Amino acid sequence: MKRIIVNLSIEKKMVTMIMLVTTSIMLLSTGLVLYTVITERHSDIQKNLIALGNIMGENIKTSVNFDDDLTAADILETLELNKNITKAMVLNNKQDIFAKYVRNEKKSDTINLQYDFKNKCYIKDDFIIFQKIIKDDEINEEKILIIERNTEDLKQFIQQIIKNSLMLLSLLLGIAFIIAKRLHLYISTPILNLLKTMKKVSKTNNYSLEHKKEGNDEIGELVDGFNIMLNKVNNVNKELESKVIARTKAYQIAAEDALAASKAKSEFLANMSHEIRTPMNGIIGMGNFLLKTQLTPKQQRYADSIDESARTLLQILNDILDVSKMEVGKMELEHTEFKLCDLLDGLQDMFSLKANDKGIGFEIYSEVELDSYLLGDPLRLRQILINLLGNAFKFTSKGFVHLRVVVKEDIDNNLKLKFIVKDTGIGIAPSKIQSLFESFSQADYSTTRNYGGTGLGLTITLQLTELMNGVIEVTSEEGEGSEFAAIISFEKSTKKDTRVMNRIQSLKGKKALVVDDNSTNAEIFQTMFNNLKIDADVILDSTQAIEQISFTKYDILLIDWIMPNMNGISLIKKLQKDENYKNTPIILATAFDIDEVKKESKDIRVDAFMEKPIKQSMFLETVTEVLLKDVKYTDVKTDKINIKLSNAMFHEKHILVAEDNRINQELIMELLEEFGFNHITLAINGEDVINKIENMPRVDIVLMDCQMPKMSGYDATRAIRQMPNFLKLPIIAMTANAMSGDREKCLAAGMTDYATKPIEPDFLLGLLSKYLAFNIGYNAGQADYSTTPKLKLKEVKKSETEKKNDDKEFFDITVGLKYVSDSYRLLNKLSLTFKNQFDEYVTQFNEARRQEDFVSISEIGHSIKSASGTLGFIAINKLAFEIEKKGKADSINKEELFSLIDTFINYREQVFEKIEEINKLGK
Amino acid sequence: MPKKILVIDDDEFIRIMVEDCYENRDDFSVTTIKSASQAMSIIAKEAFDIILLDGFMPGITGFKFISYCKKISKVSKIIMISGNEDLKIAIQAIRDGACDYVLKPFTINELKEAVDRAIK
Repeated sequence: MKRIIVNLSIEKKMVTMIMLVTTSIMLLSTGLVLYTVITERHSDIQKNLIALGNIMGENIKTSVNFDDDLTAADILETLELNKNITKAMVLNNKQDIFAKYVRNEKKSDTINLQYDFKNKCYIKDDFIIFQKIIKDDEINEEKILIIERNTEDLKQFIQQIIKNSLMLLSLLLGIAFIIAKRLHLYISTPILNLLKTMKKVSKTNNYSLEHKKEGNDEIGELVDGFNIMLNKVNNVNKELESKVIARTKAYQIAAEDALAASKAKSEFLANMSHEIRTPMNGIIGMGNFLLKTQLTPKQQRYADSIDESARTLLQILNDILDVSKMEVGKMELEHTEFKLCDLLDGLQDMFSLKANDKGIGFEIYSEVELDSYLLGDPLRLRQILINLLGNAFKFTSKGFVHLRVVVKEDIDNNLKLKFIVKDTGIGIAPSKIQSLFESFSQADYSTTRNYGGTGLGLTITLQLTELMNGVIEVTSEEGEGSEFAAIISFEKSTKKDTRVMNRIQSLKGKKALVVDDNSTNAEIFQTMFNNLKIDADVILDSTQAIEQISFTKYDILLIDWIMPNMNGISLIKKLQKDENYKNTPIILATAFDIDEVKKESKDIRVDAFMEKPIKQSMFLETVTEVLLKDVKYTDVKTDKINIKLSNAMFHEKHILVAEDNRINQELIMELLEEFGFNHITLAINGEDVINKIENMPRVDIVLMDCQMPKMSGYDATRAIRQMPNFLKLPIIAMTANAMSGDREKCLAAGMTDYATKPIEPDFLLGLLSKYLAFNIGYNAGQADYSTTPKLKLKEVKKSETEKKNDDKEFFDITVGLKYVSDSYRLLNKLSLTFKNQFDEYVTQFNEARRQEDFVSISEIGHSIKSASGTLGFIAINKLAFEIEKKGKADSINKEELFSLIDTFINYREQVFEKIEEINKLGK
Repeated sequence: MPKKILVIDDDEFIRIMVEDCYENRDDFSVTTIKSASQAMSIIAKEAFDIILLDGFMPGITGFKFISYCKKISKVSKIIMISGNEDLKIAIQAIRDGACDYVLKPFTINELKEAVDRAIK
């Protein structure tokens, strides 16, 4: 109830209250009035009746005195005039009727004399009064007059008056209601108005509004309070607003500053990269040349360290650049066709050497179809995989590193690949895995000290992967190894490698058997066979192979050489006794030297040898070769351009080199000479380029540094392109700027191609060969080829044998004696062996030189090195060391190597002389 | 029973040095062989106490051969001989099962000490 009232509106509350009060007061007063009126009326009637009784008693007394009942009845009959009197009687001693009057009397009526005589007057249905009539003479005899009067009129009166009162009451209440309805407005209107204003304020947030006051009552005070509050809020609001505006301005300024700073940073990085790369070019290039000269072992070590450090520094620089590129969102992905298996083969080449050096296993195997091309950024994918593999190798010293490419999903044209790099290295604690991918973070700072690296590799890897919409997963167990997986989707190109496709098509349905005791290797071979659509079974125990081949007929057998119980060669011997397998192609695989296997397996038929680890492409070649002997494919092999060829190619070409840095000038000149250029013109700045090019009789190609004083390479190129004869002249930019956009800048200026400093010799050679393959000469004026360049043959450097050797530097007997613990006898014996071997070495050298068999030359050098060292022939020892190293080098300087061999041969007499001396001492 | 030494080295010098060193000793017998592939059949037939193995030989190199040696001839102690100063290679050789590593050129005393250590 209370609740209902509380929730009523003020209007209803007030009206209800007013009406309640009014109604109750009215009811009360009306009731009182009614009561009074009715009581009055009642007593009036009573009084009148009593008076009537008195009068009638006096009148009747005479008749009573005379016992004249008839008169008495007549007198009573006079009461007829009073319509309300219903009955009048005179009783004798309250028992029998003396005289009576009954209005409208009927004969059947009996008169009831049961009266209560104690009261003089009472109401029992009707008013009843008693009047004693006393006879004058007889005191004992008593007569009583009874008059009965009905109450009809009283009842009617009461009914009437109540009816009237109610009507009046309702009229009054109606008026009260109307008044109440009006009255409440004085209180509720201002409150409702205030409420309206409040709603408006809260809706429009306009705190500057003011509410108009209507009176000075409490509501007026409320309005005042409200206005004050509104004012205060308004002030606070305004203050806040001004603060917000001020802050926003400050933030804007800060944001602009940050943007400028970021721009400055990337510009700084670009510049820094240029500034650092220029000297780095010098260090790496000159270091390479230094390494090619004759060095003492100590110098060699120092030079090697310089080279390695410079390369590391370059790697760090590249990493930092990559990170900053990605930070400013400048890293753009290519979208080109590439063959995944070629990319993987490249990685195999790259890391095999490292795996060999560290003595750990390294395998790559992929489930991706060999003939399919993917669309994506092969360079960045390569970078991701190199980073992951590089890390795996860095932290693995025993066991293996595997790269597996698994096809996770192959829907429509989308190929979801998982590249899993697994190693058995030091592993990572679970708690540290999360922080691995943060910049400059390795699993532990001590890791950086132990294993080197910038800690940027994984950051870059992750960001690159994310750039390709891929994810990286890491699982690792400390001490057990790690597994990094990059999951990246590629679009499949519609292009197919038809050469590979044809081959696989012809191989389809063949069955192969792999016999290898190493389950991992066997699995890899199996995968590789499966990639060629060849079904392959695996046997781990060679002794079971014979049983196996009797069940199933295989088209090709792949057998490992060294296995426990029975090695591959014995197995093949046994297999080939079986009639069914007499002509089945057999591949013998080995992790050891192939020549060795070949020697061992001379007397059995082996169709091909395979060196482990094998690349998928090689595997395909070998298997097709063996299985499809009769099918001829015309393959074009794209071999590395070899220097011999390029030498002849570049002899007559005219090259203009623009470079301002002195060291880089020297470096590039030396490189070009090494490549076989005879006509090199050098320009030191853009202006110089223009001058020189106008006066050159012929120019075939220009190497242009971009940043040069006076006139930049870009401007020079633009100027050259203005000359009609040079529209198609190849101009190759050399720039140390590695930020993206540089390439575009170069091409926009009109350059043909682009090489980044430090200049990679092989890369430059590739570019030069590409653009100089066609014999087109350009010159500023009219074509004039009359001045054919004369061949300028390189002067053969004077052999160093002519230097007179200091005796001690040539031969030191104390060294020899030290090794044989002062046994002259043994030294003598050994020196004689060396003498006998010497001529043999000379013969071998000459033979190898004739065949240009540099590997043999290196091996001979190796043998001579250890023998001469033990005997104390110091000069020869050094020379042999040089020969061994040069013969193994990636790019071989034939002339230099041959002149070293000549030097060795020229030492013959001196050596024999010294051995003679030892002989004498020994005796 | 004399201790049996097998020298696997393509370098005649080394073979001569080792043979010479133990020439007149009753407690040692020395067999020498030129290549790892030839050694395969020998170690399969005969057990040697000590194998002196050259690290770099044409064909199968000594470094590759260690694990094979260990598999076939379990009792043999393998001493690597190599001209390579790289510590990493030495460590790897020891991990693969070599018991010692002698750097070329070595003195006779160095050789003898290494052999004595291996026998102990």
